[in-house]
Amino acid sequence: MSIEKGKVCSWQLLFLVAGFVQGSVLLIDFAVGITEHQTWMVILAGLVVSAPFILSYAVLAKRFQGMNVIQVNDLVYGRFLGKVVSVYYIFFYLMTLSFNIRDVGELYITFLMPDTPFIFLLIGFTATCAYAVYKGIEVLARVSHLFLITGMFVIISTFALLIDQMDFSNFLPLFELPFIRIFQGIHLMSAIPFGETIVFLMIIGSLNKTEHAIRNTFIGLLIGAISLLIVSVRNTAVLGKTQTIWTSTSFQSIRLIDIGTVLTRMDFLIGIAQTVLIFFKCSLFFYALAVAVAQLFGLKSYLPLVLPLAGIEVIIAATVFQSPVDHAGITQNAGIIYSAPLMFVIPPLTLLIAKIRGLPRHERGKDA
Amino acid sequence: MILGKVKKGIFAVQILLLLMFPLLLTGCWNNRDLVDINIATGIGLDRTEEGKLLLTIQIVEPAAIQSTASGKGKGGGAQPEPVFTQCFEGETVFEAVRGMLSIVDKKVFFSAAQVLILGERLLQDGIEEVLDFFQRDHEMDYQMRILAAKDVTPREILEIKNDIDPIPAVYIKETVDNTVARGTVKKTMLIDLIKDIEDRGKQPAIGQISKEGEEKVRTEGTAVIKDGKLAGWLDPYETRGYLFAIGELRSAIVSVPADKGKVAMEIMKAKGKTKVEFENNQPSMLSIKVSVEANVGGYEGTGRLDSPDNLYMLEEKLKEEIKKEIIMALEKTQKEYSSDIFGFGTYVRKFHPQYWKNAEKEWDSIFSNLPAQIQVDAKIERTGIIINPVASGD
Repeated sequence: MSIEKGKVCSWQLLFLVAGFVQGSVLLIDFAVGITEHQTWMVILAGLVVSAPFILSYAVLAKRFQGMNVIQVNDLVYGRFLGKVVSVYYIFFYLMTLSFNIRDVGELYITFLMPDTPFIFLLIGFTATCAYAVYKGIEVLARVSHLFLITGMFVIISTFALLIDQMDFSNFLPLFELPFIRIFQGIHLMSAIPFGETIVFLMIIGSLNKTEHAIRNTFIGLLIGAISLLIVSVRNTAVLGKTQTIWTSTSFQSIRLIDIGTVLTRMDFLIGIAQTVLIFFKCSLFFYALAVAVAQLFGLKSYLPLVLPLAGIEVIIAATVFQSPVDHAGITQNAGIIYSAPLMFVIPPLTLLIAKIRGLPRHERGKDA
Repeated sequence: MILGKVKKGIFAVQILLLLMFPLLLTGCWNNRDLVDINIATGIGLDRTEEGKLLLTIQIVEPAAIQSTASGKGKGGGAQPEPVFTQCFEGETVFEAVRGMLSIVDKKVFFSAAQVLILGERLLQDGIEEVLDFFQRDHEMDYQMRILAAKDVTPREILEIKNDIDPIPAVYIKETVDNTVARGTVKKTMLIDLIKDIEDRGKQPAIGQISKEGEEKVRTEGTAVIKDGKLAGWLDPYETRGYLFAIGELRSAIVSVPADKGKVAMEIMKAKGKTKVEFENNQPSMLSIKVSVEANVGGYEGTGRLDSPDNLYMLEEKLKEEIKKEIIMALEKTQKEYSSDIFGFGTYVRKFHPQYWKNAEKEWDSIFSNLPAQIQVDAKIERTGIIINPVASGD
């Protein structure tokens, strides 16, 4: 018996995935410092590399229909080992969520409200996410297309407004950087925007019909990837060589919009879009976290956990890094290491073991 | 019935709550009122003789502008000065900016700064370090015009007062934009400068400003920078040649000698492209391709313009004239300043990365010794309302 009672339509999954990937649009900045003008190809390569793993998430979730990954772990690895694996998942959700919350805070404090105490920004944002999580996944899924449209609108309109400042020779020379940096970039890309879709292992279980789950996941993934690509192309074409020096490349390129001295300083556009998109991403993460913890401790509902978890998240987000420099450094170098086994080893392994042990059929038989 | 009333009550409370939200959303927490700030419109940076940084800020009191505007004509008595200029010395830019607060009564607000004027001594000393503050601070407008002061200190320029515009910095900015339309000054915005400094293949060039008489400025010419330091200046004609070559010329009036007089050609469209030709993996030639479309703006003479041959001759002469200006600019930057403000290095970096890796350090000397090939295409589109000059003899 699953904790979540709300149901998500199959086509809503598409918007959920797309909006979720789009929510990482701010995070491609982490890669820009490493891969400079070749970021666009790193995004594509990251998509290709992570695609089989994401396929394994979808197949796994489909195989264990109506269950979330915590239940699956118990089944596949047994009671004890399953709990260990589940704790790993929860740790990942917990940390990634706090990093994302911190991102929003840093965006606000650097560009919009430099004098506001950092913790207030974090609390305000987390409280909003907590509210969304209280409402449940069904509500989030029903409005997911609105988030996607908002994000797409900002991404496409800023691209159009900056066309006159773009210099497409900024992408040259095509292959300049040493392979090791490209490799690091691909790893970062496949882990951060795409690999984090592992959160859907908690959500696909709530689908009312899993028929098109795989197809819709991939269409959503593609839409998300295209958004990231547009943003990355825009930033590189506008900022060229300088794109490595800014705290936020997207913010910088949008500040340059100047259409006849009337449409200028459109910072607010990106402020809105980033807030909305990261809110969406964080809410999904938060939801996954709350449900996972509730499932681990065998609670009947995840709702009592939302507030305490929100408090924990704010504290982690406020204290985990010393500065944005620290944040970028750890995300680029260490963050993707601790998450790699979870994203790239455990789900395929779970699937393999499930296949060998013929698990779901056995379980369904027991249910009947 | 009662239930309906309760529902209505809840509805009213909801509406009330909704109406209260706008009150909370009026502004940010660190919102500053117009009467509580001093608006910086122009910034000047220079070095003192002791090597300290001298910051000059032109400050506008919004409230005072209002009172002078309404006081005018009424012959009102002592009005507060709407614009004043203040200097402060400091070790770093930020220190000077904050130190300014010990002289000025209100916080200085930088988002509306129109111009940043760099002094000659600072330019000779190096600009890259001091610009960092302007990039880092979130208040700065990246479209701010950057100017290099020649034979005058930024302070002297910012202290200019005249009747053209109540705010001198606005007057300077508008003058620069006018001159850009004449094609004799390089329009350098903060973002352009940052891009040029970051791009190791191109040296920055900054528009020039000097004093014209006691209370006016003249914005013509270009300061050539090499590795962050001032290398020299280009005069208005060389500047125009330079702008033709890099394709940044928006419009210009080029006078062309024609038989029996002079023709003023108005450049309507200009495209410029710089390239470096390679032979055996070694750069063999700098190539500049320019194509312009021009109209006849005036014919101060007695020649005729009514046959294709006349126009063809005129086109040829226009080409010559433009080519001459480009050569002047190129030779000066190559031989005298050895600073690649054209961005040939950027081309090499992008299209010949293998070669660039080894050549990056010596690029300026390689650039200085390369021969150049300049190709200009000119097309005369229209001759205006009349064809021949009134006094054309035939």
